[in-house]
Amino acid sequence: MTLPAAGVWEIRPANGTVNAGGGFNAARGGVDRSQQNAPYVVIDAATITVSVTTNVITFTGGYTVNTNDDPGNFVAITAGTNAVLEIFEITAANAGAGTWTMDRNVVSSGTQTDFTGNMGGARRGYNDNGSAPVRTLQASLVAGNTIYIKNEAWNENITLTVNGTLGGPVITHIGYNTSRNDIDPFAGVSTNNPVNNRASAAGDGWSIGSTNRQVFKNLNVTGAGDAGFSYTSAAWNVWINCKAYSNTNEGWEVGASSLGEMHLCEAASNGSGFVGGGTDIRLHNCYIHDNTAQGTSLATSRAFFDFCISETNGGNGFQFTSPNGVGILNCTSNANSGATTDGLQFTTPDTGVTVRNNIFSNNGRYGANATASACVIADHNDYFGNSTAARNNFPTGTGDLTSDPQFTNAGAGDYSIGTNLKAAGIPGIFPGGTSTGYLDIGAVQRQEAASGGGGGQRVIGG
Amino acid sequence: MKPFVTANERPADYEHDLSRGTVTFDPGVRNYALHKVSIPDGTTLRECNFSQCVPNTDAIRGRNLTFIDCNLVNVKIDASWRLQRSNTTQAWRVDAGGGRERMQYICKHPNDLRGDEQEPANVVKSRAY
Repeated sequence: MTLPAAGVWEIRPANGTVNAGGGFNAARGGVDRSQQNAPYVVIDAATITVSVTTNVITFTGGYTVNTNDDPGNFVAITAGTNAVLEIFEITAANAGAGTWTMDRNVVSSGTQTDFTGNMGGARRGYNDNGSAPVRTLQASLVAGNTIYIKNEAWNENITLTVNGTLGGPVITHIGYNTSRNDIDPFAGVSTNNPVNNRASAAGDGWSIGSTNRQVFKNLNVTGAGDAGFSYTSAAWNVWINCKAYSNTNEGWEVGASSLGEMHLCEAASNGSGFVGGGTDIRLHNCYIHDNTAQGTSLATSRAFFDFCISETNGGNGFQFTSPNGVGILNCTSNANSGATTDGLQFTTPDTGVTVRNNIFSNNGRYGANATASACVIADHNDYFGNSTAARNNFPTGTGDLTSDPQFTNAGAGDYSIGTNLKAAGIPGIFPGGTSTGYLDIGAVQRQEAASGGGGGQRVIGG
Repeated sequence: MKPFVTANERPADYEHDLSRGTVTFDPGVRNYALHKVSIPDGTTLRECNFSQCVPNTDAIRGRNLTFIDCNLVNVKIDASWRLQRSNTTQAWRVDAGGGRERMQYICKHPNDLRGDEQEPANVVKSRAY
């Protein structure tokens, strides 16, 4: 056996305990002892003593086994003659016999009495937050696991190596503030996310490599000497409400042939925003701003960006090399700086490239620029205030506009629009003429008809 | 809101794309990367980007500044500044191939520079535009 797919881990980077058990499997019906800072049982071979044979731990002093409460908790074995220095699950407990039955052998041979270890308590990190645990959490993961990370001081280079599984289960990493699930990942607010502050150390914040089928929610990373998140996985990884800021290189470094989807993510003040190769990359409601170089730059086939804002970067707002099967819909690219900086730039675009309902405004050179226009389908975009011209080698749509978007307060990051662009996007009338809707141009929607009033939509906010 | 550098406008001391010249501080602007700027003494800056191309660049003038969550990569750090959760990495900008440039890590802080670090052969310090 191995640790269970249903296992749930707890990380408290500042107040957790190095070598804590750290996890729990609720299916065993016990009481979760991982949601506390310190271990619940410390086997120290002095105050609490055990005798260990195969997969059975028998208490010989200092602790009374609880038949009902103990099962499902994880135990980290830290030392002992012939000990297997890993993390185990209590699959059954017997108060009468004073035993825990573990999911697999804890000792490689014989009966030993000098074991030490911890049951319960939160871990300090995937690698125990810079400590040197006997067995790391990152090496103990199993497909299907969920890892909760509490918002505490945190600095570690996380290297993931365990994949999720095709068809499920995946591995889910969830940040929280004071209690689990207290951050709605689709609320677009990252201020209470735990922050992995690399404090200018070398390396990435998250070295995900080719590890795949991971879901990241409510996690921030800053100050990395390299990238915030770095991955090359050939199967989908998903980020929701994550923020990478002030990292030396990319907020998200996307390796060649990578697949990834980002919802309501923010890349701010990094060396660049979302950059690299990538086969299938999807950005939904993302906010990319104030990066030193490009907001996004992908050498990619197949990408889909919608309702994203890329602004005030030191390079192109959205940049693609050899795109095919790319859609840029309802995005805003504004005030990206540089003598050769464009709001949108395509180099050698192939077929299947669609650009519509976007705002390209106040950029350093062109609103939209391409090395070839024949493959690009573009219409109902707004071009305003770009330094050299609206377009270069880029198709003009019959529904294109050149109106001031009337951003509410671009300097403060409020890209809600005035009335010039409301309900000016497509589709208005759907094919067949049986359905009529309205869509604004740009990332932030007014939610009102051209002649009416309505609500508003926020993309994300720090 | 106009960018600091466009095809038609740029600071008077603009050298090239990686040394973009001196700009005026504006509390509403957060991206000063590759620029030089003077900031009023005592100002607190949050989530601003001041990163530079070349290690230990004297890019910011101002005393008793407080930087919170800022990007200070390759910036020369004044002793009077207070830094909270800001990135002071020093790094070479290098040609990473495939049209990409990346920062190659040297050390955590400009004070950690020895002065005899060897530039990589693929270091990038300037551009034609």
